[in-house]
Amino acid sequence: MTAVRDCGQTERIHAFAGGELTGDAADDVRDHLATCVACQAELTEVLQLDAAVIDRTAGVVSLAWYRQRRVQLAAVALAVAASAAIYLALPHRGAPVAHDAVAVVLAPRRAIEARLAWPGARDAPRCPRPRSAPAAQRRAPPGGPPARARGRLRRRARRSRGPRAG
Amino acid sequence: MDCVALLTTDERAWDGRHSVTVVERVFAQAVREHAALLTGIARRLCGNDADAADLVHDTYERALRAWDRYADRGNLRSWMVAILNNLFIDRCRKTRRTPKTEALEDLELAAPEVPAPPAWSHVTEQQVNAALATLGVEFRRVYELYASGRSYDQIAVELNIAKATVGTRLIRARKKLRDALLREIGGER
Repeated sequence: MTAVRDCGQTERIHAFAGGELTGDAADDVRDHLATCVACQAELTEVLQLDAAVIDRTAGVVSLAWYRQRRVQLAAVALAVAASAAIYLALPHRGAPVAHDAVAVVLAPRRAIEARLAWPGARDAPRCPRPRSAPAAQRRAPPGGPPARARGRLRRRARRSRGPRAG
Repeated sequence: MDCVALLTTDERAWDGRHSVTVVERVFAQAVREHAALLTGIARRLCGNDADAADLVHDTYERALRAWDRYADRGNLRSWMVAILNNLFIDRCRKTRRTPKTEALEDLELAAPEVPAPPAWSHVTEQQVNAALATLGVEFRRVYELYASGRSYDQIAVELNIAKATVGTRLIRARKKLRDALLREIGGER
């Protein structure tokens, strides 16, 4: 933009003013700016122009952004409104019943009848029946009652059954 | 801003907490108004927050010292940007990585004083809109996206063009804008 001995760095100065250069590339421009009057003037003009225009265009730009995206924004607003309407129209049945272990653990304590009436009990896997104890455990414990007590118990049982027929 | 021209700098006013001079009050307001703009420019120029904060602080200090010499109260923002730019160039000279020895008469130096604001710093919103309207769609779109804070990469993706094209269009948009604004100002005057 400047007529003062253009050194061909215009693009770099514009990119630098826009914050597009970093690291060594930016340092090179800073070094160059230290001595090149043309680039100093170019940088000054870029900054001044942007400062004069950009704040004033803020409203225009934001309005253009909304205009450009009015279809998308309208679609989003419509979708949100429809979702809200459907949600409000549907009857609320409370929280869904979960038939998992966590729900069972968190369920309030109730009597066993109430627990069996719980609808999830039908779907829940049945508990295995308790198996009978093995034969070794069914025998009388080795200590048992003393021999005299055993005889007395046997006689009493015989008397209660009465005389044998025949 | 209009009230400043009617009051002398020594008059004091009550700002609700303590007595301040008109200069202090107007300057504090200017700092609040332009802090974001100046900080943004300083960050882009310096490349880091610490140097940017120093640069903005020095700008305020220089502006406060030169307040009496600032005759044109039309566009304080433009004047502060000019000060910031000059201070940045001074820093570039001081922190140059590869110092060269040159004859003093061959060396072109920028004016040490704060320069007068450029002509288009007085433009109004209507003039800016009129100048923007003269840009072609492709240039206007790139400049608007840049003005909204997007990077070259983001603009390139959004408009589906090369990053180098973004830079080129931005340069041409600025040139056209500057010419259009100067025409607007010239036509008004």
